Amino acid sequence: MALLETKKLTKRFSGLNAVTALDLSVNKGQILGLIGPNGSGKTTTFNLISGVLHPTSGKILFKGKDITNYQPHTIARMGIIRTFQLATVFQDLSVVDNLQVALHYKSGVGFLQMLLETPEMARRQNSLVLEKATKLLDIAGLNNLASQKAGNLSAGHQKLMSVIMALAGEPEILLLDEPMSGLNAEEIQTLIRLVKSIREERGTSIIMVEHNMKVVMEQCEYIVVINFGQKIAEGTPSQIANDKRVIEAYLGSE
Amino acid sequence: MLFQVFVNGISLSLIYILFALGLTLIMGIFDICNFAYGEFVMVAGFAMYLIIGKWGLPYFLAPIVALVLVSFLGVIFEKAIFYPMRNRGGLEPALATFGVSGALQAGALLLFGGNPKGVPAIINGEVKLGSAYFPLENLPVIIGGLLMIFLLFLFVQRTKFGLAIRALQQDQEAAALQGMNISSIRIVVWVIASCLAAAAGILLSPISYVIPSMGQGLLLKGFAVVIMGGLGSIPGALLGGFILGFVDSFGQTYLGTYSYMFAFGFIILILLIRPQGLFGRR
Amino acid sequence: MKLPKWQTFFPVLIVLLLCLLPIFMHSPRYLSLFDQLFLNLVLAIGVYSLWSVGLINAAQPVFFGLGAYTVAILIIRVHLPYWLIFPIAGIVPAAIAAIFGFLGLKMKGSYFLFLTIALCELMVWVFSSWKSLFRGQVGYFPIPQPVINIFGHSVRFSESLTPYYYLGLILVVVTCLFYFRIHGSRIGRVWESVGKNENLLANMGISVFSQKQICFIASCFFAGLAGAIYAPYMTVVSPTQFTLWQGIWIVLGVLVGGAFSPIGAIIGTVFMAILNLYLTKFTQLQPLILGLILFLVLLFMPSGLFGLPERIKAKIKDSTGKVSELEHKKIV
Repeated sequence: MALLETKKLTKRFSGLNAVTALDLSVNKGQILGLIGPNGSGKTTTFNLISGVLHPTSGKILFKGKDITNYQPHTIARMGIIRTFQLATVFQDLSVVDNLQVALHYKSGVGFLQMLLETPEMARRQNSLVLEKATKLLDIAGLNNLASQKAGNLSAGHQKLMSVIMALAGEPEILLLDEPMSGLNAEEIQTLIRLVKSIREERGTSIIMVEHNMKVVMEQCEYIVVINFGQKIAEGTPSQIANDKRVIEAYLGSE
Repeated sequence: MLFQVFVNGISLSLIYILFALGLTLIMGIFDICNFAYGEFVMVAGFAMYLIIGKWGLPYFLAPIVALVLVSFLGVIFEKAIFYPMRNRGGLEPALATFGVSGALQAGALLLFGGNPKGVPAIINGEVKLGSAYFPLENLPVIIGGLLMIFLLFLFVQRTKFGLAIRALQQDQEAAALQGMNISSIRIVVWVIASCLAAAAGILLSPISYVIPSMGQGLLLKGFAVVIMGGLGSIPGALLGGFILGFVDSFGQTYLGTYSYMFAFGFIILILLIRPQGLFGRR
Repeated sequence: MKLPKWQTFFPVLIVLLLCLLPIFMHSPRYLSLFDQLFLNLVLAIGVYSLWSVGLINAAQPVFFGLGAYTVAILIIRVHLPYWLIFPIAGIVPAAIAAIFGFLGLKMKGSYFLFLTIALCELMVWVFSSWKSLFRGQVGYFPIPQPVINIFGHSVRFSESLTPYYYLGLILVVVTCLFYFRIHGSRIGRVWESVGKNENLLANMGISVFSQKQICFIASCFFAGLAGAIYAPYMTVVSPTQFTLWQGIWIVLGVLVGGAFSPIGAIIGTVFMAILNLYLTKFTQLQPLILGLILFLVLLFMPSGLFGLPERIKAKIKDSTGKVSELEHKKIV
């Protein structure tokens, strides 16, 4: 059984068909690429899966359970976490504070607890969270920037941050929305390494929306191509590379 | 009696609709509350009072002056408040309008005092229709209101500007990317919204009192209409204004002081069933 | 917000001075001014807290009034002792806040402001019209003065304003401790982020709506407690005491002081209290002046008085050619 499945997922915006009858499926530990020309509905698909938008029709199934129309935070808690293209981190908070916020839900400490706990308990809780935050920063190699204001970091570093912040929620599926955009070659390599290690060590499935064809072809095991909100092709990278419809879609839209 | 309440309801509806249309236009495109929108109506009302009531100038002059004056006010708002603050999030400009609202009201209070001013209606008297009486002062309101709405529709549906506005309503970023001149379109939107408010004031002043706080109550109700109809939705403003006008008219006559509550309660009920408003999108 | 040593020392000093003040100052007028200030501070900090989650609440007086009415009703009609009513006076507004929040918190910040304005108008109407519960325009009068027994010594509130002064001071200190604790902790970070990037937070499994609810309920709880002190202090509770106008004053106080920090809220409220002393002569001009202040602060000083030193530092750094790391703190 696929980990995540969409069945005939459709989203209409007052006359505009953003996504039409999209069938996707992702297995455990798989890296799936979602590609297509600009405006083909990739981000809308992510918005639908993560609950930010509700579909006009169709279903989303996670581990066989129907999660269509669930709230975004519920979906995140169930194990589907995404990154965003823009506004990736909390600009005004420090790097480590960003991670602390990301870890907040998993820390299991609610408002009432924070009120009632003794200073001793509070200190222990906080150091636990700080430990986890530091470990995550280690993975991305950002520990030396921990106290910097997140808004001052380079785009590449902010992207790395957004990935480990998503990781903080211990997701089973990671949705990466154009993670490579705005990064230089070195940063791309770092991010690829990070993503790969996430898959290797935690068995996390990854769906990647990307424009960088090289990255997609090299890293994804399976690719779905959409145009005008509809799936026009799917297959392994080599199958896609030779697919006439895909080539047409990209050339035709230039 | 019932017939008069009904006619009153139509007049009120049209005024609410005009007000709500302007408000929903602003809120849909600029995504902020203009807390001083009620004061636009007040300014128009006082313009009517000054020109017809105090200075005794020809009647047709007053609406024109009111429209021009309020449009001017709207443009000032755009240039001084909304365009400079457009990137600062929704709260700061809203707060600024709040301050201006209070200032305008206080200014009017200082200039004119708190006593209600009257504006004579164009037509007076009543016409007997069968067994009921039709108060003729409602006639200009109904005709004028319908005319304004019709003109607005022509503009929005048939002209290039109207198309641009509709595009802005859907997606501001895409519109900017398509090369539309956002700042001048914004000014056009403000002028339209200001004219709508002015129209509401022009139509309202003969059938109600002109006082500095006349905009406040209207803003509250207008806002409720816009939320009920769905933010940024023109059909929503139409339907919402229509409903509220009648609810208000009937409420005021038959329920007295409870009419306020009735209107609000009704709106809350709708919102509970459909949180995005009647026509809103999710 | 880890405070450096001098910043923990300073507030303790101030609180100590305030504790000692009534010994040297017997004038009831000044005691009363300070007490009002304390209550306003409690309201203002609650408003600040909501501001940090991106909501502006102009209806604080409503919850303040609910607390006051609760005390009035329970003391006069049910004859409960004051110490028992006191916490109830906080719970009632908190419950109303929960109900109101259910509908109102689903809206965006500037629309929420409108809703609080509507709530204010609504509640004033309810207070005046629901005669059987609230006794209309006349309200509740007189409110019996509480007598509290501490360590066998009876504190009679009827004798002077001093007990009210200390009660108000205690409430402010407790409120400050509460809010400084929260806003210095991880939850404070979460709340600040709610105001700025809701989607990102939802993605981390945090229910933005729940956080807003908690914040709102807490601030209304404290507002209610402040009302519980206000009722016997004024000896009368009537609808005209809880107006939208006061709500706006409180919001302005938070804005002028700097809406990004509880310290800003405190500074701003003190400033507004002083301003109020001078403006009592010009009641007609008040809306005009306040409107202008609001407008000018938003345009030229969005981070308020408390944010001024940092902005000046940033401007100096800029002008010396160094790259400034300080950014003008957004309040929204």
